[in-house]
Amino acid sequence: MLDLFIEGLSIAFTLENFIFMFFGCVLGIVFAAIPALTFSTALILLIPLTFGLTPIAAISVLLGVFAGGMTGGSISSILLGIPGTPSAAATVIDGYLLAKKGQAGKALGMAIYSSVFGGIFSLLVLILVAPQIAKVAIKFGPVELFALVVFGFSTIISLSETSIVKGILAGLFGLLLCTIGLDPVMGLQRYTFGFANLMTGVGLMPVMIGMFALPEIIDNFLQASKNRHKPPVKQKQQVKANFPSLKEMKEAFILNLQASAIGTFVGAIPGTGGPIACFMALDVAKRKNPKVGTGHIDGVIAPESANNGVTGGALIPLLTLGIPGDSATAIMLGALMIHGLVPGPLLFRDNGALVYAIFISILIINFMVLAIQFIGMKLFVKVLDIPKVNLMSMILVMAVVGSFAINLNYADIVVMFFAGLLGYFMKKFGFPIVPLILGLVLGYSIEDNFRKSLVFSDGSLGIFVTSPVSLVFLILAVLMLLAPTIRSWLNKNKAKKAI
Amino acid sequence: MKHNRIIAVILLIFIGWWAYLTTQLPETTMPGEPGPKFFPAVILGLMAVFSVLLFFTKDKKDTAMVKTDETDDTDDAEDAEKEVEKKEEVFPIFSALKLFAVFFVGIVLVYFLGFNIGMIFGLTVMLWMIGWRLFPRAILFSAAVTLAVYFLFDWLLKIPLPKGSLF
Amino acid sequence: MKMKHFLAVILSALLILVSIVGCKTGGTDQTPKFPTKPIDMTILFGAGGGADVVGRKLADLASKELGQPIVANNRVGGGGSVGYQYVLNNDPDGYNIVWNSTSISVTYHQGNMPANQGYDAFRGVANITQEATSLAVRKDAPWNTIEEFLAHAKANPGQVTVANSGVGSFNQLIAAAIEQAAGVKFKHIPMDAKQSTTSLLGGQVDAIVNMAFDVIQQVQADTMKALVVVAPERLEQLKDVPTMKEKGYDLDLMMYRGIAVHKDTPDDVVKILENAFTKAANDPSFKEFAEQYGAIVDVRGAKEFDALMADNDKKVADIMEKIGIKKQ
Repeated sequence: MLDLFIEGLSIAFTLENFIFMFFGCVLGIVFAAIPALTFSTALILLIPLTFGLTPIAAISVLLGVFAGGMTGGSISSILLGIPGTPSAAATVIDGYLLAKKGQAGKALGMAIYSSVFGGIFSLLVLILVAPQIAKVAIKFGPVELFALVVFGFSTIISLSETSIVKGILAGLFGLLLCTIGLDPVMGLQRYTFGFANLMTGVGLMPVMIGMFALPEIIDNFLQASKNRHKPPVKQKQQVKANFPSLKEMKEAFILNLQASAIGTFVGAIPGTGGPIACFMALDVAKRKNPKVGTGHIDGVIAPESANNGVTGGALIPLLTLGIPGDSATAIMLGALMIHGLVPGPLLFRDNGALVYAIFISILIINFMVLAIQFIGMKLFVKVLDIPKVNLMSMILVMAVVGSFAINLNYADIVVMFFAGLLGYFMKKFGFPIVPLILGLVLGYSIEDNFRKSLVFSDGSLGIFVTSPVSLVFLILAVLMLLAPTIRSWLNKNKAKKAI
Repeated sequence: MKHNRIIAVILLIFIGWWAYLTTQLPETTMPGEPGPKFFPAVILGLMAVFSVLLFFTKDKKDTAMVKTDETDDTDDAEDAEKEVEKKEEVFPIFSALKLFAVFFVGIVLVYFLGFNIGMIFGLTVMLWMIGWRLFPRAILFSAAVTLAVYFLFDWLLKIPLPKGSLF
Repeated sequence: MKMKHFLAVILSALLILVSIVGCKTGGTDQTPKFPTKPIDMTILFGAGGGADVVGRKLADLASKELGQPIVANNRVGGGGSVGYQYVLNNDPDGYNIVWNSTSISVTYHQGNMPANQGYDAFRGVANITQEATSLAVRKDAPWNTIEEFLAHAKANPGQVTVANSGVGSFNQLIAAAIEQAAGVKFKHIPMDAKQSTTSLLGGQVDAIVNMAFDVIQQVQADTMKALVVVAPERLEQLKDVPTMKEKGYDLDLMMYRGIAVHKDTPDDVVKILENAFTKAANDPSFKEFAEQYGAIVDVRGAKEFDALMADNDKKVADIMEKIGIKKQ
């Protein structure tokens, strides 16, 4: 093992490798930081380029994009209130509120620290117990996945800001949007009205871009329109990169650990993905600290730790079983295979040194991301110095390109527009947007796994109770959903007793 | 309160329409499986229940509420007592809708005349509407942003942006 | 301040000028020879999958023959319908090609393509590869041969769970075809390409039908055993595994992949493309590359590819009819 480690070290520690890792990190951060572009786009663009690279260089550059992308998404979430990646949608609530309070620097610093914490935590898990985790992960069949995803959906209770009824309605509407397109089990068209473009379904990215970016753009435009007769006030945002102090790190440690563990484990289960992990982590934070949701730093720590926990977690099924956990790892699987490396149990046996080289590279990448982010942050916050109208115009153009570029589908631009319009009204009438996004993220899995489970059981619902994993998650979900009702009932009782 | 009622009614109408569409869906051919209608039906049912609830609920703090008849110069009228320090100003929905409409025209033009023309048009008009009364300035800025993005994507990254179906 | 404005004006003017010039050079191609601008290759699946990567490699090699870049673009969704219709909606000038596969027939018969847009809305340029499927069970399963497995299935009709890659996937068709050929009744579990492997490893199903490549990986890793292969001949990587044909069943349908264009594309353009793609596919480096992904390189010209598409369409339609998912 030690000789493999040393060999891996010598593969990883080459100048070429370092250059590619650096390039990947920067690319990932930039793509994720720009609203409407995601690191998945960056990964796709890179695939043809990796044809000509050595395996470790190819993997390094892709891992760099993956890890950089997961951290970069928080930048525009916090600074602009527009999440850069689906995973950053959970960060937007507290992150943006913190920025409005003038604590953008603190939030960014903590986000970066938490990301790297999650990344390194999941790497350790990957190195130490990957095969064991993989064994648990493959036990998650449709039944267990259904329960897990329902549990994930029950976190909308925590995400509903002012009114739980409105939050739930938004979440349900998100689920309903998922039913447009091809039905997950039978492949039949639903609500497509015969349009081929609707068969793809309502994409998460166009909706996210529209719902978060357009209302922000329009409001800023109107603001500028109103202020046009006043002399322009130059308000310099003073955002300094605040590396969290030791005390802050200590306070955040337990939450970091919990969120990273959630991220790693959820990431390891094929068919889940980053956003679910982030929302679950946010929910944990919320239950520990009710101030989360009103601009508390814990609301940044938890999702950011979780989404980088996913990076290591998603590599577990990829490297041990050859099964990608999400779209990003699917692309990496392709890249590995271009070079004749077939992930799976064989990879450890035949290319042990390379596996160690990958592990070492991930570690280096995490520190690289940390360094690049802290230097880059000073640049990113300069974005806020651009006059708002100019900045928002650029984001508007990017929103159109970004929603189109995902599938090269014009219909996605239209979807983005209507999502934006709806988002504007929702914002005006106090409907939270994040639950809708959560519904959209989970809807497909909920229906897909539910129906597949029933195929297993010949239509009997008992299958969800007989599987212990499923039972536990479902009970948790019900408790979460009923928690507000129970709490208010208890409070009433207390009040009565007091009288 | 009033708004919630209106929204609830709109939602119920929407749910009814969607439910009608759902009844048109085909049945499943797989044994045991509840079919393509089932999941939408469950969601619609739940949505209906919560819409009715919405009809009778009063929001704890109707912070972001907007009265449509408000004019431009009523500044931050309400939510002074809000605990979160976001003094978001409230704008008349009508002027927002006008901007959305122009943006939509721009998107439609993207389809017919291509990305560059559509976006330059849409952005220029929007900028003009919000007070960039100098046309050259609005056009030049829109063109610069649009073309910069175009070159970045279409040329450097080789993502084929819409060229326009009329060409 | 004035200076700044002036600069902005100049800069924007330049940008506009360049864009106009750019459009001009792109727009006026009066030169007679066929590819004078980049070719757009539609890939129907997400980036990074085996078929995507092989397609990109092929595009890379063929573009060297054509002297113009072939840009691979993923247009995913609707079981391929979105990408197919994109190609059909463009001019039939050969600048839009599609990395076609058996999925055209499945998507069409499932009712997810407009009525007149079946396999024959396209014309073949060249067939490139074929992919076999395989039925596999867990390493510790009690069955060691396909006969034992089928006998068990016969004794327990509707009890043996077989995962495939979802309704309308090629693997589902093959699973149904095996079932019909052997006269047994499986319980088909529609998974997806990823989940079907995990569901077998995780013990949720008894067997899977999957692309041979995915099975080969797991067989080599000693987690599964392949019981049968659906192909005309045995596979090199699974030498000990018999084919359905050997066992006396008339089933050797493989999944083809090839390049196709709009059916109204002129002959001379198709000819040029055909030459380029057959040359690229016959390149030894391509063969080696494609084999890593479990694809058997089987280069056929435009005419033979048309025949292959028609033949497969009939077989696919037949299976779909029998399992009741054929709509048109």
